[in-house]
Amino acid sequence: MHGRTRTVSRSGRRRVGAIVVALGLWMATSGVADAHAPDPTVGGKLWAQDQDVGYAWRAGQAPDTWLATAIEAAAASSNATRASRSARFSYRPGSASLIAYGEPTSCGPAGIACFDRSGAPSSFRMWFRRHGTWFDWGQLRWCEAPGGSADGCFEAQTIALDELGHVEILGHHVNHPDDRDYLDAVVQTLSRAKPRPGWSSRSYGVCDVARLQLEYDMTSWSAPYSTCLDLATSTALAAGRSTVALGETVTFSATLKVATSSSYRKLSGNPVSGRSMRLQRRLVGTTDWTTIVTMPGGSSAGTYVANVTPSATADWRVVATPSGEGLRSATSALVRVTVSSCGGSPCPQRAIP
Amino acid sequence: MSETGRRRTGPAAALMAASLAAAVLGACTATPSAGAPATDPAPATDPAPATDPAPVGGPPSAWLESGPEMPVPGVPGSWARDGVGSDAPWLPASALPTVEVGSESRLVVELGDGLGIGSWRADVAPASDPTGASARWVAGRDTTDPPLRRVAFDPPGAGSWVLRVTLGFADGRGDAAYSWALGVGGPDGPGSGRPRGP
Repeated sequence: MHGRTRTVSRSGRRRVGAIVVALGLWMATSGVADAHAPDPTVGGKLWAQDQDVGYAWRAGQAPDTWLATAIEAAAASSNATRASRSARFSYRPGSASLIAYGEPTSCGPAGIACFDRSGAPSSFRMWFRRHGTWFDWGQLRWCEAPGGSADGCFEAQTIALDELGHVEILGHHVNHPDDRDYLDAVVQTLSRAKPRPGWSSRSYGVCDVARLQLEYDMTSWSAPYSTCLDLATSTALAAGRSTVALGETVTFSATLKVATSSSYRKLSGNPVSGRSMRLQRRLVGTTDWTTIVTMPGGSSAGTYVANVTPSATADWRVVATPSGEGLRSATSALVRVTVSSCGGSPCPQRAIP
Repeated sequence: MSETGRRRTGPAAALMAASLAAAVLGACTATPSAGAPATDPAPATDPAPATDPAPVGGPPSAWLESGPEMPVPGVPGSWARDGVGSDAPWLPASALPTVEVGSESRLVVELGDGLGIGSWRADVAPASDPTGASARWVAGRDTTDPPLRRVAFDPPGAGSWVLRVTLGFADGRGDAAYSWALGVGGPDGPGSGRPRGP
């Protein structure tokens, strides 16, 4: 089947060169790709948020115990590390979703495992090639199979997590040219064998999680956003009173949201709670900002409230500084609060009711 | 797979084309509430199929051209499209058709069925490396616009290689990796000045 050889002559090269030039804008040329983004999607309908999706073994193709254990461990890993409201998987006999071991499969000729999520949100299919199967590329060995743990084996639990990621909605991650971000995703175009980095993964990578969050939303408003995301945020500040007398208290209220963007999918406009929101003051006539207080959370999602007794007229702002996650910092517009020098009563600058 | 490389469509491709209209990515907008993200209404579910769906046809074909000879189809490895897919390891030279080119040739890869290409990358590893552990990126882009009909890049240096090209479909509905064994000769043509290993 293989071993065919095509030969390109010198004259042929010249002709090809002319053709290549003529192709103009249709041609792509070599360039430096620099990717680090959430996994793409693989197509098909989403599951419901937090949908419990049961699966069972296909009749006549039930996996051996070692593989069943690996698949169930992968399902548990998926559930534990999805960090989103994506579907949850569990083994339930009689389920519409079926997982099969051995032939027949729907896998490609070189494929060791494959999936079909076109039945979502009702069901999915998954297949694993049999341990010991010979391919054009060599013999498949699953690491968990008896006697299968030598270098060159594929870990079934990792591959099952990859397939479950596909079933969720994940497409193959687009890596940096040097693959330094290979470990940022389990769902990869290239399945790695032991002992190459990434051959054994017990959790989704940050770029898997990023896509799951984009498509299925966060588990709570205070949950951290994947570091594979880079989402703009917006914050706003309001003062309960714009003019106060010396010694009086002003209530500052702030909000923090994920910016609104269609590319942010489910995350667009999300309120963001539990982040560091620094209320800062700049006295009139000065240029330096001073942090007065870190605002605690308010009564509703994405709100922050602080009571302050200003000592002088000043401009105020809030600076949101999420850290260790995929949210950018944001700074609010300025709010001026004027402080009357008169603290006594009656005060001539106060409005008389 | 065709020995001549002329055939660019077939039953598998037709099946794939028919499946393209099937998938629509659902998207709803969450309405935030005070305590936790809102819950989307559960999507309607269809009765479970009584039997497995028909086997999927696989990815579209991809062809490597580098001169007047007939284009050579690549061997698909991992692929995913419209909710179905298959995962595979690095394919060694022994599993691949060989394409001989000169070092000054230009390698051109295109998808069958006229499909556009979005992001793409080409990697090579010495043919003596059966697992691709030493594979390195040689060309590509991570953007998806504008869609491309074909991609072109320079071959690696003289030697025997495995070329693996990963093509993202411009419609955003998946990707596929294709591999060839690649023999790169000297500037005077295939086989000239080419050592047996890189």
